[in-house]
Amino acid sequence: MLNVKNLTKTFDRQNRHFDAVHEVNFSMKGGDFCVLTGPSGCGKSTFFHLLCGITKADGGEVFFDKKDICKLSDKELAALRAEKISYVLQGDSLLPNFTVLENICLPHQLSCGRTDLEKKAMELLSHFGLEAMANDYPSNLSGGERRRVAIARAFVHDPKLIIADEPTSDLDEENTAMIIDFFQQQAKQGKAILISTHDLSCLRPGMIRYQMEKGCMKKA
Amino acid sequence: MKQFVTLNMALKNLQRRPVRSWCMIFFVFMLAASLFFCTVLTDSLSESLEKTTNRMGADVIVVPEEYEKDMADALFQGNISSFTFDKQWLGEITGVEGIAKSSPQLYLRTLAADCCSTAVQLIAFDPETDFIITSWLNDDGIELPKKGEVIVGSKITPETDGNVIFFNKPYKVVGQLEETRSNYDACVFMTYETADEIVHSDKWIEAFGEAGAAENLVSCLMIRAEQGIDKNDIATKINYRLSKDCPVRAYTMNGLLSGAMNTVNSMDNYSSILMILISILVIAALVCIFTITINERTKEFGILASLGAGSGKLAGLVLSEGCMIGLAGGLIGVIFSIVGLLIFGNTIVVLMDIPKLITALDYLLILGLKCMALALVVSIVASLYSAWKVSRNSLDTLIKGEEM
Ligand SMILES: Nc1ncnc2c1ncn2[C@@H]1O[C@H](COP(=O)(O)OP(=O)(O)OP(=O)(O)O)[C@@H](O)[C@H]1O
Ligand SMILES: [Mg+2]
Repeated sequence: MLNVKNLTKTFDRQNRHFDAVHEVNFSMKGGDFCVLTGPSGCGKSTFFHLLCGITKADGGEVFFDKKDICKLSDKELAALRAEKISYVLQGDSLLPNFTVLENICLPHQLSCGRTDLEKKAMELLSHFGLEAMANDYPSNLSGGERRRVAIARAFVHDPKLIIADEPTSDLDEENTAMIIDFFQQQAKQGKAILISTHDLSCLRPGMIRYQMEKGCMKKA
Repeated sequence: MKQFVTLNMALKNLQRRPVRSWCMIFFVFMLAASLFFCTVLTDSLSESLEKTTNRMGADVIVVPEEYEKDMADALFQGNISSFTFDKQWLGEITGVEGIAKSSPQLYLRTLAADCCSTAVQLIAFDPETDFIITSWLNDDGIELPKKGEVIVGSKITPETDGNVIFFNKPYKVVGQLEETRSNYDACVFMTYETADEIVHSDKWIEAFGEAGAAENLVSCLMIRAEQGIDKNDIATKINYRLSKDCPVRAYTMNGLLSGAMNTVNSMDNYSSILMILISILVIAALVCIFTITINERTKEFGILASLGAGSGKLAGLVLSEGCMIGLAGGLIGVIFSIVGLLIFGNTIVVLMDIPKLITALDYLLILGLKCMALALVVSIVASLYSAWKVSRNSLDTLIKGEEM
């Protein structure tokens, strides 16, 4: 499903080039649950941005469903993110002006016109124990609750590939376990899941672990 | 529902930021309200002017030279005046080519004292030659007033016994003209015979002195040109005929009212300039508020983009917010102005010293729609820049929430 070849991204800092992502080869298929670990600044977020077409690569190829996403137009990339690849941003990613339920449904309604998501959204919310907060605004939620809402939003429209950037950072064990359990369960149902973390305690058997160091990635 | 999601989201964004939203709405409100008021004022002035000229039905008017301004004010502003010249001077005019009809009128004034019902403009006409007032009477189905009888404009209220009292004498009101929305509404009309009675009453003499027979007094000579004859030509010909020591001059109606017309035109120009300035200011203010707040909201747009919203959708969201601000500000501005105009119209008339304000609802509604359209355009223009920036920006800038 996802096939990455020699992916490279170069940044400039004070007139010095460096590869934030260097010649990365990587692949995954439906049902895989991959975890990317590595120290801060090693290039995890940059790699994820390349995978969903938020950042343009400087070299290499990213094949998703046999199409090279580096060659897609902005519009096609937006459609891809709207329907097939779901990306959970690092940190807080809820819209402050919308309630929890609106946060889950409205962005998808905007990007691909889907209006049938409310029922699924409520199911996910109750799975995460948040159904009572459906009409609360994000500012009234704790960090862990907000993270769960963002994850519910990433799954609600049934994408094929879910990429989550540090979905468990700053969370306690209970919240972390709840989220990892959910990912595992979704992977079993055939979704491809790719997350990053520097919290090694959330590793479980059955996960495929990759390690990243200064832009280079290898299987651990 | 699908099409409305952008509007729905834009509305929620505005609702959740009430201070910002109301600030922007306020600017648009100011724009719409001032445009509305300026337009009503200038339109009202030119309408009054046009009504007066049309109603008059005279092409050329002969008045005492130094009273030309008084005459214009009497016709247009509703100032009450009293001025005369001797009928003998009219002899110099007879025989000028191109005159179809001519008829003298006598403008007298009453006093705001016990002797008179009200201080009004009296206009005496000569039924034999008149081609103006008798036609109004015909239109309204009113008989010619006889000696001692008067016709009043729509704004004059007779005493309870159906008379009006001028200089301690009662005059029977035998008819009231329909409303014309010109200053003739506040005038009292009579024939020369009745005017003669007035100028010979003790009180009149006490107030204004001996005047002689009314039939020898003229305030103005109304002249209608023959079909196809240039009015300016007639005025020039008359003035050429008049001897040097003659105290009267001929003016075309437009020339007489040109002072007022110039005022209206310059008001029109001033208000246009004012409106352009206000529009620029409002656009600038809105652009600032939009740019600042959109810059602080880059992360929100980044989140939407990461979930697959294309740049067009993001721009649409910003533009929708702009449209809503424009519609809200415009609507509030227009409603506020219409209500204000209906409630305080009379006060405005007095304060600004203008004949009257147009308060016809259809006119106000159409003008209201125009003002709202302008408010909308201004808000859209103001949000275009932000919309363009949001749609043009690279996604990682948006996602990082950096300043654009
Ligand atoms: N737009 C940019 N311009 C220049 N350098 C950048 C840019 N974005 C990221 N970098 C650099 O690239 C490197 C990788 O950044 P990245 O955000 O991918 O790290 P990360 O692995 O996600 O770190 P963390 O775990 O702290 O989130 C860092 O050294 C960062 O400073
Ligand atoms: Mg990161």
